[in-house]
Amino acid sequence: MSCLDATFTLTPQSPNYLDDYKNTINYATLYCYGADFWASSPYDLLSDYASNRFFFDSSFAAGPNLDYAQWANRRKTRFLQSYINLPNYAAAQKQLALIFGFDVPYSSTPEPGRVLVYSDAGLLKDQQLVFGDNQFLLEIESLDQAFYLYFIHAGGHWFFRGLSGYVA
Amino acid sequence: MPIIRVTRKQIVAANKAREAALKEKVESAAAPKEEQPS
Repeated sequence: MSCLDATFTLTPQSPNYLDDYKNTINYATLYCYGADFWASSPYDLLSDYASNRFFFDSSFAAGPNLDYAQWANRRKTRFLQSYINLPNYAAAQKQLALIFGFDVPYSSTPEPGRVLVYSDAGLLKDQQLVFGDNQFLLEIESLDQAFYLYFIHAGGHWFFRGLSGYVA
Repeated sequence: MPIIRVTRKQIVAANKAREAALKEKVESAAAPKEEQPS
């Protein structure tokens, strides 16, 4: 049970949020630039679709030492991208809490899951995805400008579950 | 739960960086190409 409904939740099956209010459009979207599939459940295409998740395989993780703020580097790897533009809330000085949901399927993966969180100006955080945990939080201070976030797959086997935004 | 804080200053810097990268890409595409040796 949650005490606050998310303003939006972006998932593989529902990657867009659009809220048209007083001729101003609040918009958030999720892009996936590559995910992985194995032959068997729960890593195969049908299972991923049924569970509304993307799977990332450690074999195809990005090297951690490149600058993924650069498209030339980003385009060679698997990553998720989010664009968020919430102008209606900016006027009210609102902030945004973004929850990144994930699953790590088992504890004995070759290495922990790892995501490099980037903006266009550089690395924001090198985030480990630990077995037993299932989310991390981004606190966005201001909504007066639209922005992009990039989540670079950089290690481990893990599933992406969704990105939920709470305006507060 | 791990928390990543993104400040307004970081968002402004990111948008400036994106704008500069796009501008560079457009200028590079518009620049006359050198003739290739035959």
